[in-house]
Amino acid sequence: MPVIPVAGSERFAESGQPLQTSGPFGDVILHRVSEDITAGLDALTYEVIRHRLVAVTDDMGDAVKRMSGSVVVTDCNDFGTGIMDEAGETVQVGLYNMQLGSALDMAARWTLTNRSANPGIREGDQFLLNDPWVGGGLHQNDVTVLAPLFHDGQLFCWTAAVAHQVDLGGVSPGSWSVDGRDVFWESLPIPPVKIVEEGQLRADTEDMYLRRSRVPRLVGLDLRAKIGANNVAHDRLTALIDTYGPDTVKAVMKKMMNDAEARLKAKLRELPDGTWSSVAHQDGGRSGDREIHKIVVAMTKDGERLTFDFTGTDLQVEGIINCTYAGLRGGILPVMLTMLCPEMSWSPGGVFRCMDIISEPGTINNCTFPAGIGKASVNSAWATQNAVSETVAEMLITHPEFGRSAMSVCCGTWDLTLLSGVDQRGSGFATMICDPTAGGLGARVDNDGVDTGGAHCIPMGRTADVEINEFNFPMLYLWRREEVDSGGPGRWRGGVGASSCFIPHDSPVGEVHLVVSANGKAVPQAAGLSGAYPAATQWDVLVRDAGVREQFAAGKIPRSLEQLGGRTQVVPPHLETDLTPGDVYFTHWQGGGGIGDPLHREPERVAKDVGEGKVSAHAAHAVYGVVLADEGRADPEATETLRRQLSRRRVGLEPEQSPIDSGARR
Amino acid sequence: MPYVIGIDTGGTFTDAFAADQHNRLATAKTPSTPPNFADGFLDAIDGLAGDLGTDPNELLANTEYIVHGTTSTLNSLVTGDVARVGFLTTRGHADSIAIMNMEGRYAGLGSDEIQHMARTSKPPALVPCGRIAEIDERIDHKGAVIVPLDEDGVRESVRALLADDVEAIAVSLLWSFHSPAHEQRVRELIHEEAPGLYVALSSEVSPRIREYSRSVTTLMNTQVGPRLGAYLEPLQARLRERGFTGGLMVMQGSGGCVSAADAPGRAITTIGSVLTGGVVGCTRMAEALETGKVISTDMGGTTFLVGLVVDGKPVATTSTVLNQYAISTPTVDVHTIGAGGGAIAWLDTAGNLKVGPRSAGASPGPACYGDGGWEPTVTDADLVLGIINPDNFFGGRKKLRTQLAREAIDKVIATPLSMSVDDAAAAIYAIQNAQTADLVRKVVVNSGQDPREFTLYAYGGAGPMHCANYAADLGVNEVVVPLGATAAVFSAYGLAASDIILTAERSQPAPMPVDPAAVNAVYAELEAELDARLTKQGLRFSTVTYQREADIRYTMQMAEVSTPVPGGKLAAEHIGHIGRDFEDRYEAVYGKGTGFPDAGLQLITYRVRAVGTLPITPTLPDHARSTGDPIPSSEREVFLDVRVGRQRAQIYDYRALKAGHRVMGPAVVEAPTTTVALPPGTAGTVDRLGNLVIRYRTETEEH
Amino acid sequence: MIIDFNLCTDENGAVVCRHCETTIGDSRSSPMNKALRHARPSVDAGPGIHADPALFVDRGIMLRQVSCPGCFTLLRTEIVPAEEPSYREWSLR
Repeated sequence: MPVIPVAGSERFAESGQPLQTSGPFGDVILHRVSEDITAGLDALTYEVIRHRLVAVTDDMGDAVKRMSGSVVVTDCNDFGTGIMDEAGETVQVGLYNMQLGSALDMAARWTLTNRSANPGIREGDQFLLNDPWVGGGLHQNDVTVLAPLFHDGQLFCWTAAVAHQVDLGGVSPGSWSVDGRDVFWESLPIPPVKIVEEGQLRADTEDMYLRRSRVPRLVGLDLRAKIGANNVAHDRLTALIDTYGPDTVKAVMKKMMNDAEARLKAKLRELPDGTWSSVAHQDGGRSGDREIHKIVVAMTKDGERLTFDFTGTDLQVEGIINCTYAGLRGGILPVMLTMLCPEMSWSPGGVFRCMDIISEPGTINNCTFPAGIGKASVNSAWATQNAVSETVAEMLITHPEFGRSAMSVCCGTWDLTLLSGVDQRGSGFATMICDPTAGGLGARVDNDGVDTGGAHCIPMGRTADVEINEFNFPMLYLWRREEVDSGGPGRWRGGVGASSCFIPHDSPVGEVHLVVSANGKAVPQAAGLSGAYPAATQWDVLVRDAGVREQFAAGKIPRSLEQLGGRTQVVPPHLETDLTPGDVYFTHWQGGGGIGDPLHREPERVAKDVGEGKVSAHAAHAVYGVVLADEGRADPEATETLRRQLSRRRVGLEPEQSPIDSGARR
Repeated sequence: MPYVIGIDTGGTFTDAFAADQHNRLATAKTPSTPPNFADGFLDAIDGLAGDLGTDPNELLANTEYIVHGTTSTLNSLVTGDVARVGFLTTRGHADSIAIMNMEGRYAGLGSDEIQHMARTSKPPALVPCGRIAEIDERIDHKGAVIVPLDEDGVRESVRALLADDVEAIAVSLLWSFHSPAHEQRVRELIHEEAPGLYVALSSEVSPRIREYSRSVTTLMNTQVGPRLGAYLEPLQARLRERGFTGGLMVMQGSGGCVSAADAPGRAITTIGSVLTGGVVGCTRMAEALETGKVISTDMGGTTFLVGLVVDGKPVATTSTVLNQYAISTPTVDVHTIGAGGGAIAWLDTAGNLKVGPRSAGASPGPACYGDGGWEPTVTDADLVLGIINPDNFFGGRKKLRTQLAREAIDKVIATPLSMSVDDAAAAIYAIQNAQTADLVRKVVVNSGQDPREFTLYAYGGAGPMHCANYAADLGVNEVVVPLGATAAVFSAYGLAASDIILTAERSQPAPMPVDPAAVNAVYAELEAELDARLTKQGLRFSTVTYQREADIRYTMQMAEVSTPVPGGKLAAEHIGHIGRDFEDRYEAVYGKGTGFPDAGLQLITYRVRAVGTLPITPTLPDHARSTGDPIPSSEREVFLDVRVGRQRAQIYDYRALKAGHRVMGPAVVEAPTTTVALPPGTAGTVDRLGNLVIRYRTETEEH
Repeated sequence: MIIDFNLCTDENGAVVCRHCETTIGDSRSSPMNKALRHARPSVDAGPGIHADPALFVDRGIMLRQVSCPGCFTLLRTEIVPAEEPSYREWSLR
């Protein structure tokens, strides 16, 4: 079916550009501060207030985490917090999901422009939205609560909390509808609506919002968590304004962004001018799709500016993997912050001023309404991040100091496993299994990537304990373990990913519903740098009618897929099915890419990796060219011979005929 | 006649305090003697005896018990001098301690470090993979046995570990906190192979849901237990040789102590042993002064420690982070930042002035020590500002060189920022105070309290120079600087005044309302367990109380809120009360309207704390009363307030101050162990115990 | 200046192998034009390729490697659809 253009939907496509007009915005008066007050700030006041503002986003995060009831928030840290100035520029984001800190400014500007006249923006109001064309989050599950802060009748600044909600309706439980062709198959986006009016939670708006969810109580708890986080922030900011005066506090906000801009520009000036380009592939845009969809980026660094040019990227697809402009920015900002700005204040408002984005609306990572975006955050936004991360890392490793902040591509995408049904207490449930938060990180210039170290966009991710998952959901794990050969081979190895293998357990209805969506099965997604290999492909396996229960009864716990018995089915990128009590699900997510030629890795390190189960003996031989002797030690001479043969084979030459020949050359 | 003694062994000094029931007090401060800390312990006893004018053996013979704060456990873990341990866990889950729930890459790091993602790593493995064995066995969330224990497999694994020369074995199986039978059987099997081997079970060390931290806690306990035993046993023997017949107690991180015989089996509980003495000291002092809520701040050379006392009890937490590993053991909640007197002031690449977290430590120390330190520190700023008297630092025992401090501040801060040295020093002082206030506020607010209801105690060498400023920022009522008899050995005083506290807990997650019969059964078991352990301490108690609590959360939340539970047999209406109490506490912490009963409540963990009060409680002697007004010893220019700048201030020698004396800011009080800064607008009063109590004068008082 | 683990540029902007000093190209116009290029099916990349890509997609997937002509050090490894040009390129200004 052709995508039907929706007239009038352009109104919701926020441009990502700073506020173009000075108003009027209904009866809202913006609190502004003059340049000279900003310029005249003394170092002392600046540092004290800056410290407080950072602490506010941190306190907001604590509040969201403590109050939320969703493991996705509490365990994976899949949420974001931020403070924006009166015009919506982001002053500071919390250290949570950086994707979610990258479009809060868009949401604030859209709300200011479109809601100030009707229904009006007043003291004590908060707005709820989950429309990724407007901004805020990256897909509909990311719900933002945006709160304007007034001082003396003027709109002083905005705060926002955004978090992933486990289910907001749509065809499939969890709102990841793998058969979806456009946004109408998914949870319908909500543009900014007034959820709190002059301090009161609006019952009608809340009901309209929660009515769509399969787990309204959890989503309702999270709504309060976000409102609570904004309240915490407003208390702290008001105290700060009372102490130092509104102009001084605002001047600090402006200076934080100016500083981030100035420092990033200074850093860019020290790097060489040039262009680095890359590509990211996603296999399968929806269930049954056998196409590969690419995102292409050419990053040009010229003086103190970066341009990300996505020309050549595929057109948006009928499926669930597209992302809006918010997602595109969400693919860039985490890389900019962690690799280019690790030692400065995370003030996206300043960082965005150092870069230009060239992208055609209607492409897979800048899609137009009503393209499907249900999985935007972990598909096209994540793939954008992979490609951008490669280009930025390549630029950085030309510099001896800045290169230390670079990583190869981290865990290539999110291995979505969504379970739903009836839990062991007889209640309905739907949840994302957050184990893949422990992806492998990319290799570094002087070290291996961190094994099961996380995902690039969430510096502080977390997985739930097995016991917590088994307590909350009707499942029983056979194992959760780091996986051999999952890290990208290189001079420095990418961090390994891991796998979980579980059975439905103790649901009163027996079966459990399963939604799987995971790319990178045909094309690995965490690329290496400087000649290194990418991390392993994603790999999910469903085993029907396995003999697990019989083995349990015989006192044995299966240790591998081979020991499970039953009928094995390699799972395609997108699948929705039921798990019956006799079935087993195995989900194996990705590691990080390597750096440098694996034949240059010290043989002893490879031998150690084999001993610790990070690398198989087979890969040690075939990819690293290391011959292991007795007791697992590397045999130096045989290794050198093998490495010479492998390096010839890699360029298409026959192996040298005689090992004696090579001995003579040495 | 019988004495009680507190000995706090820190990295640098061993502090000692002794008291009898008739207000006879003695204090001693002697150098610690690493690695043989027992020598310093005995030196401190000698010091106490000297102070009392008696013979050490006679003092020991007359001592009912000694409470000891030891670095042994923390030291073993930090230096890696731990027992060679084997680990047995459920098949399929050995990697749990390597995956570390992923959080191990950043747990315990500051946001500056976390932002630099490519520079973060996980800590080294607790056990090499060769000494971990997986066992076929499985229990599910209800405690049902899904796979029986493979006893042959256990024996085989144990033999392999023994052949690999392990000194101890840790056992942590899934769901063991719910159903410990498999773990208990594993211990029997281990002891069949190796009688007497040190074995720790996760169901005993930390019977709480969440296998990652339970395994880590059990492993670390197993690593340090044998070492703690190897330290305490000979120490006890040496004390006996000298005639000591009383009890040797070890302070735990929970703020209560445990007998030396019982300590090695639960060694992990002693991890915060040396951090908590100060907070316990504050608790006792607050009792003496009848203060309800206290913020305890200890600012030493390298770190700043914050703890809270509410309603006569230190605020506790149920878990802590060490070396990026999550440990589940109840401890007094002591937060720390690298913002002591040695914290270094520096400029970042954009020219912003920063203070800490790096510290010049004791060596080379601040620039003004003249021991080779070239970077300006907070102490250097304090000196330049005139707060510290260079000739009277630590009672004149350390001479400071103001010129070196000025040069360091000039070179690193003032010149690059085009400021005067005085202004740069003032900026360092102000930033330090603001950061400190931010940390303290975070600690107080996160525990659900309002700082304005608190009294702040400031001790440690550097704290009193800054406390009036950071406390003003918090809006606290008053600031107490403990001086008087205990000033130099405040934490040792805390030890001597402590109770025996034992904790037993068990996770048994269930939706509320939980069946009262189940609740009564769990609490009865926990209390019976504690009763048996209290008897094993071999001590007389004046009273024993049990404090119950339950960790409750709204369904699926990660964090629980500890909620008090009444004693005795509970009925359905009590369970309802507990649920409502949880909701009240929740809203107190997170704000009105944040609770959401529709989400449902879950009770996760039951806990009982047994507090055995010991018969001797040291009472602090009264300070001499004043006769007349205090007389300043001198006057100098001091910078005490950003808004005023440098001004004339009266200088007082603490030794000449008597109870009832009132000193008006701007002023500085120089005591033998510290210096107290009194900014304009404050007044310091010497209380009956000799503490300096700082209050903020109101506008009307000014006129 | 250093380009990456394997490459650097000399004073004339030529791209040179850091291991064997072989000239590979020009950093402004064609940085790697003298490098050796070789492609194989992606499953040759080792055990990290868990399943035949044909299970999931219709296009052929290749392991493409670029190596130094002097010492055969790997300069680039990518696994991509067979008919696609290589988008992984760089140049200095």
